[in-house]
Order: sequence, then structure tokens, then C-alpha cells
Amino acid sequence: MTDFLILLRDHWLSLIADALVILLMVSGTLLFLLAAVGIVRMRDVYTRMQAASKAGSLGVACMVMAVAMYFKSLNVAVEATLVVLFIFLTTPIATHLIARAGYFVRVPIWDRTARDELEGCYDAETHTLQSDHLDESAAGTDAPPPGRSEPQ
Amino acid sequence: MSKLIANFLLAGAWAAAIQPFNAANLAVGFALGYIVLWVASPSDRESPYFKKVFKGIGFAFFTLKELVVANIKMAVWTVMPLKRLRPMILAVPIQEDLTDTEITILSSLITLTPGTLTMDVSENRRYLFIHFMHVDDPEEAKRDVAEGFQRRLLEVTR
Repeated sequence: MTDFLILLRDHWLSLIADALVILLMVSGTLLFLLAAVGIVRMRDVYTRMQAASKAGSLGVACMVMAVAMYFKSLNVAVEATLVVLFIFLTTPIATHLIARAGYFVRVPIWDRTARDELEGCYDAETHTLQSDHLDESAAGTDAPPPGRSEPQ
Repeated sequence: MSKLIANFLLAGAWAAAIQPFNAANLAVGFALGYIVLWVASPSDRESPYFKKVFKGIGFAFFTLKELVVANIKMAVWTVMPLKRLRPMILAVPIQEDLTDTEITILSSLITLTPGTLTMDVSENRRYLFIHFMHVDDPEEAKRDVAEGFQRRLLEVTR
């Protein structure tokens, strides 16, 4: 009788584990799909980067976790953890650099963008980012932004 | 910081002694190590470490929640008509005395959370320039970033 119960328990446990693996893989795939659709549908670099950075990184995390759950071994689990860690460390930095580079080379910004407070803050020569005029305008004096004219 | 390392070493020792060496045993070892550290340092009960552990765990769960919310929101924005979006690039003020590490963590987390993407940090480290996917009220959006993430992060790092 107890043998039968243990067998039943193991059966249910492996069933739940399989269901989790499937769930993770399906949601990972859906996230990749969303990232792809987002890249096609969005209208400028920044909105595209938004779609790609979020859905992409969580999608990879889901996939790798599914792999770790499927193999159930320590080596795979450690490697999976490292992969997830590095993805979450590097994706924001890559996104940040692409967005910044896009602004420097004046990639056209979507005309629905309602406000652009970065406008005129970059020094064209040195690429340094000034923000002193923001303090001044917050204090009430309306100083014109320094720097150069801006992308559209 | 040394308490954190000691706690991890205790967790590792526990999991290595009580086979198998897996996540569950590491978690148990970490909890036991926390108690051991608390008992073993009667002169240092006031150490901020004992509270920070819980705040750190809370912060991890908060980040995870934000990550999932980010993806759900992004999914909705991806499929709904683009006319409803109102993106903005805003200068969000941050505390002046943040260290390099804190700014890096903060901007990375902002990039991973709903509808926001860090573009740059100003030269005098007073402003983060953030691209928002959709903003109804700019002032409120700025306040959310400063109050939400910055405050929670500083509770853990300081």
C-alpha cells in the first residue's frame, strides 16, 4: 500500500515538474514573440529598445530556467543561474548604450514623443551631459538650454 | 559586509555537510547561519546587517514583481493601437550622494521595469534621463521613480 502511495506521489511530482517546464517554455516563447512584434510595430529606437530589452531578457530567463528544471542536476542549475544573472546584468547596459548612441547620431525620434527633456543637454563636442539649466528652471529662472540644436 | 560573507559561508558549509548540495539546503543553511550570527554576536546586535537581510529579500521579490508587470504592460502596449501611447524623455532628479554602484544598479533596474529605459546620467549625477513609454502626468512619473526604486534601493545598500 505504501509502495503504491509513493509511486503515486512520484508520479504527481514528475507531472507537476513537467507542467512547470512546459509553462516556462511557452511563456519564454511568447515573450520572444512579443519582443519581435514590438520591434516591428514600434516607431523609433527608444520604443523598440523598450520592447526588446524587457521581453527579451525575461524570455531568456524563462527558457534557461525551464532547461534547469528539466535536467534537475546541480551543474546545469548553477550554469542556468549564471546565465540568468549575466543576462540581467548586461541587457540594461547594452540598451542604455544603444539608446545613448542613437541620441548622439540623431536618430529620428517618434513624433508622438510628447516631451524631450534631454534636448540640448548634450555637449556636441565632448558628449558630456549638462543638467545645470534644469536646476535653474526648477528655481524659477527660465534659462535657455546650453549646447546645440536638436534632432527634430 | 563581512557578516554577509560569513552568512554565505555558513550556508555553503551546511549544504556541503547535509547532502545534497542544492538550493533548498543552501536556503536552510542561510537561515540557520543568520541565527548563528545573531546568537554569536551579542555585542553587535544593532548591526544593520540583521535588518538588511530581510530588506534585501523584499527588494528581490519587489524587483521580480516589477519585472513581470513590465512584461505584461509591454505585451499590452505591443498589441494595442499605437495612437494611445504618449512617450516622453524626462529628466528625473536623483539624490546627489549616490555612489557609482548605486547609480548603476538603479539605472539597470529602471531599464528592466515597466515602460522605462535609462538613457544617461548627467555629468553632475543629479539627473537620470529616462525614456518613458507612456506618461499621463510627468511630475507623477518622476516622483514614482524617485520614491519607489531609489528609496527601496537605499534601504538595502545603506
